Amino acid sequence: MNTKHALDGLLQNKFLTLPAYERLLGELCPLNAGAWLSARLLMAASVFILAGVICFFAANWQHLGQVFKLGLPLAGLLACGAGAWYKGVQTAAGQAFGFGAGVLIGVFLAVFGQVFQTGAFVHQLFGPWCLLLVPLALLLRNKWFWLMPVYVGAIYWISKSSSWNPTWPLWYGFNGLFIAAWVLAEVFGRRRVRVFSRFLWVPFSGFNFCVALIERFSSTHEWAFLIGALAFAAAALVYAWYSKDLVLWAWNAFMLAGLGSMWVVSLNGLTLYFLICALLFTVAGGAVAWAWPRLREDKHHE
Amino acid sequence: MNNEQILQQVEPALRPQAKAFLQDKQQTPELSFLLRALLFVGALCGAVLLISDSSFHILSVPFWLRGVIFLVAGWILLYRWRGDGSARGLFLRQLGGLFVLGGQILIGLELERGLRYKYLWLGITVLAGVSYPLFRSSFNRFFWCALAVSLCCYKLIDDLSLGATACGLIGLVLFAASAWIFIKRRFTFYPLAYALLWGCAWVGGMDAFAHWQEGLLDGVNIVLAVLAGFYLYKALAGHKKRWLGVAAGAVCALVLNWPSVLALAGMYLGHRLRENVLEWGCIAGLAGGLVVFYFSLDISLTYKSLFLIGPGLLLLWARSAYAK
Repeated sequence: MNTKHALDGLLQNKFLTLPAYERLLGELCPLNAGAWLSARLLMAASVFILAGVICFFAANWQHLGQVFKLGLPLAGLLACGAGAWYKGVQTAAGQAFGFGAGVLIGVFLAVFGQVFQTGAFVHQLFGPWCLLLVPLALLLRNKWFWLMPVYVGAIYWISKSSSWNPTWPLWYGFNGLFIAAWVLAEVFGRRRVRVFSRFLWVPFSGFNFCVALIERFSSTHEWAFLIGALAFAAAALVYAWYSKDLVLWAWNAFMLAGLGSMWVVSLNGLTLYFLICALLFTVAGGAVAWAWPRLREDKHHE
Repeated sequence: MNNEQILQQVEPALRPQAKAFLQDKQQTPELSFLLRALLFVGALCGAVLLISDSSFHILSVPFWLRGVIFLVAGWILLYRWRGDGSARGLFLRQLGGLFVLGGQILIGLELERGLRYKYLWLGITVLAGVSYPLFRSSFNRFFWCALAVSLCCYKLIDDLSLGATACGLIGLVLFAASAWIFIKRRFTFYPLAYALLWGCAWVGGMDAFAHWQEGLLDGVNIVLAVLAGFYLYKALAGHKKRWLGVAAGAVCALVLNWPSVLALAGMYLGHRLRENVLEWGCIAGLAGGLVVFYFSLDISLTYKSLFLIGPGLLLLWARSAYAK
């Protein structure tokens, strides 16, 4: 239990006086004012300077020359590279420089397209950006960085397939790729890589949920899509059970309730749909409560 | 956690009870924040859908009676599962709390119809006051208090057409009242304190869009700059270079305008009192202040950028000098 919460409880129940509470808090939860001030000053200064620089270039962009426009993200890339090399890629600062470089690659590609008026489609920007991010992710060895190529890749896929009609290949294709990656990681790298863990699964399934929402109301392949979506969510639920992750279980249970509700709402002629949806969410909550004593012991979460 | 060290500070007569209290707390397994958040989202979806459904299928039941039904059902759930530390207890309590809130909203809407908007602020304030001791859910308390404070401030500023200085003073009074509750550790009134802070941000937003285009250096800003300087001077007591912090605070106060200065003060207060929610709430307020600053100030982007880069560099310099 958190020491502060315990002390709060004791004060609230009048076991402690306010001076005794403050004395104990000072002893058991000591403050490091210097470190706090240093961190907050750095955070505030970074936000102010970054916001100011963005405002400055936004105001003067039309008046800047082509060399300057192209040189700016390139200079940033070089600075990030130099910073990561100087600090070492595995240090916190080196990782921050790596993240900066990842963003600036995309900025450079966008500026390149704008300056030379290449007439490229949107997905032709995101495709190379995604490819260039992969070696950077391998170099940084930071699991959070992998979210960047995943999302850039997702945007590439969406913008590339937006002209297809119906759009269901987007959903099946992306899920297929993800499941293939998952199987490979589970089979070949079980000890070292947990691709299907919370940090990747939660944003991925959130994305999937949004696509499913759009697709459900626009696709002509209603039944095929619904069965695919429910089977996918149910498989995720089973996986969460076997990996003994209660948070993943809860997330998937509510996702499943959401998918079911979406389907119920879109049915014609049904009058009790709100009631059924409420019941679905209550059942999902009940499933979490039921799983809690069985899964809570596990501690190996991401 | 050192139980013995804590128990030594408790009066001898109360020690056995305090010991039992601590043991009970330590034995109850805590649910992670993520899980609690997920359960809350699930309960919210379920409760909202059910309450919405009542508008379609029990139309014959009067509006106020529907409110009473949800209120009573929620109260029963809260009462039945009080003190249950399991996921089931938490989920049902959250569901009960949301039913209570939903029931009150239905009654509030009936009240709004009866009061014909003119006295809505009064009705909501009365509802917040009445429900505060009755319904002990922190969210319920915060929700009604925040609504009442927002409506009262809106009524005051709009009806009396108050200017920038008056808005700043109202914000300052709300912040001071909130800070007093936090400093005195009145845990029961924490939801009210957060609602007062919300009211402060609300007044800041109203003031920003109505008055900030008139100029940055109004009277309240100068007073607050002095206050921020004094505050930092006291906060950095014992440090050789505390004048650096004072200078940085004063310049930021002059540039940032009063809601952001109060957010800075709230951040520091949260850190000193070890109240993480307060500290991060104020950080969010500061970020919101920057967004409002960007959209409300009637000056060119170049000047806006200079207003941001200047204090940023000053803060960076203060940090490096402070670290030495």
